[in-house]
Amino acid sequence: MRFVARNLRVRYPVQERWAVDGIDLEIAPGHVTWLTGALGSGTSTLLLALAGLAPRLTGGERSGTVLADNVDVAAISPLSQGIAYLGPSPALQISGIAKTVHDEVAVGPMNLGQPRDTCLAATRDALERLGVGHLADRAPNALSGGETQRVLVAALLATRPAAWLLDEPFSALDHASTVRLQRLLRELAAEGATVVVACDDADTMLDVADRMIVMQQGRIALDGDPRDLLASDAVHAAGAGSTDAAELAREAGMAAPRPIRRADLIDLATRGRTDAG
Amino acid sequence: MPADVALRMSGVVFRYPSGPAVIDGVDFGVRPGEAVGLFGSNGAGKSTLLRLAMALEHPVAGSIETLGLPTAGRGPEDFAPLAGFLFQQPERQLFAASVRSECSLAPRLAGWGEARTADSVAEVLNDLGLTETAEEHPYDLPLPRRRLVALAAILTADPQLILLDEPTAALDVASRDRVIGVVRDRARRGRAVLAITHDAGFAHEALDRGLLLDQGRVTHDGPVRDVIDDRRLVRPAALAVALALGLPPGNDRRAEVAGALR
Repeated sequence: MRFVARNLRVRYPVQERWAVDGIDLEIAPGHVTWLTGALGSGTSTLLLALAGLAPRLTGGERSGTVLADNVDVAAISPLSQGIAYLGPSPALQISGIAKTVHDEVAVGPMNLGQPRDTCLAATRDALERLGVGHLADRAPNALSGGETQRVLVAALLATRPAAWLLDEPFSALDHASTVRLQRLLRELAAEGATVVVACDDADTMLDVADRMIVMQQGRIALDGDPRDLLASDAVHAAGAGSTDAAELAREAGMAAPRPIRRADLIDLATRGRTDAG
Repeated sequence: MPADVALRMSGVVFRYPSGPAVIDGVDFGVRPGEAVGLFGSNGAGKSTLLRLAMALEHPVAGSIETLGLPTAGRGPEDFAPLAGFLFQQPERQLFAASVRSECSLAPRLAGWGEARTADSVAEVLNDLGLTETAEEHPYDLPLPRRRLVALAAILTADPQLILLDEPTAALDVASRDRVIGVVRDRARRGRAVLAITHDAGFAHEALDRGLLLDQGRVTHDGPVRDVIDDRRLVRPAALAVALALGLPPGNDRRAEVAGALR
């Protein structure tokens, strides 16, 4: 699914400031696009607008257009058109009508009117790919934060969406679950899906994203290859963070090649010692 | 409140109705001035442990003392606002029409006067970088900032015990640094902090001691740098560099490591 935004502006009720303030953007299928920026830069609002949920659910107003495969997203219901949106508060997205995690995951394909066998197969597959099969009989509202996040991704996966719009999907995940979701995002893109992720953690996204978009005050400040962008000071100047190791190197005033990882920094640090000694 | 312990759990067992034991025999204490991390994989029982400490749930066996009082027969209203609890989705715990009035609720509940309340609110808002949003409606703020407001709102009554469930989740770098600063500052002032986190950088910079929870039991209790392990929680760069350079224990704070690299 290809997204095209033209002169897009979005603002919330009673706010004068536009949270998204003039964006022209095309997002192609088959790639992982990473949105980042300082607090209030507009990444969450852009995701909501791409999903057609802002201003429909949030209130406020939109000007300009957002097309998903040439259809205005304001006119469609996301899930039935193959758009999966996961917000930053996953617990709010639990359907409330399913007694078990299994049924929660099955709700999506059933609502799309798919045959029973297809629903069950999709549910089984989704539970397995997210590693939450062991939770199948649990009550959806009694899960931990990380479990809820994984179950909701599974529930979206069961509808086999063409586009994924994910707002901080790693926020409550432990290390093992993070690695699993990173792999899943790459697989989805390889299968041809459009994947857009708002994430503040460069260490998590650097090896996952094909494209990095840094937003600043509702506009696109930078747009390019994550490794190229993180190799300059521009990302920092635009208010976004780099990898943990790169930030540490910056604090130390080191002339370190960026984007660097922990191992690179250890290498530099210990080599520096040896040379000096 | 006795000064020697802010929270104590002894032989605590908990299960949700008709389920297996989520907490299966837990013993630990948190002293004033300690900033303690609660680590473990998704579903290990971490949030349940915080809910038990706040008397939002009660154990089926064992006992809990929060601020020197048994939680048995008591509810969260008996402990707030002297114990502050930041939920995992704190944006749902906001009620007032402005950030300032939201942050004034807890001190008023504690019986503080106007001037003392105003001073405390101003200080906490400043610490968390929220001063300029004081008159805004919390629900008009972006979600990460709303989470900061929820944290501010539990800190203004100067709680003796601070319970935090993923306080840095979904925060940007600058806000995260503010939270780290606030946690360290509160611990230095003798408050007890118990924080659930998957954020190794936060753990490393803000917390002293770590408890590892696995299948409802505490399997490790020690300095936070010993509990952080790449299989569970990726070591932050500063800790990894400190270990690689052989810096002595205690020299693993970020600023010190950056200094050593210079």
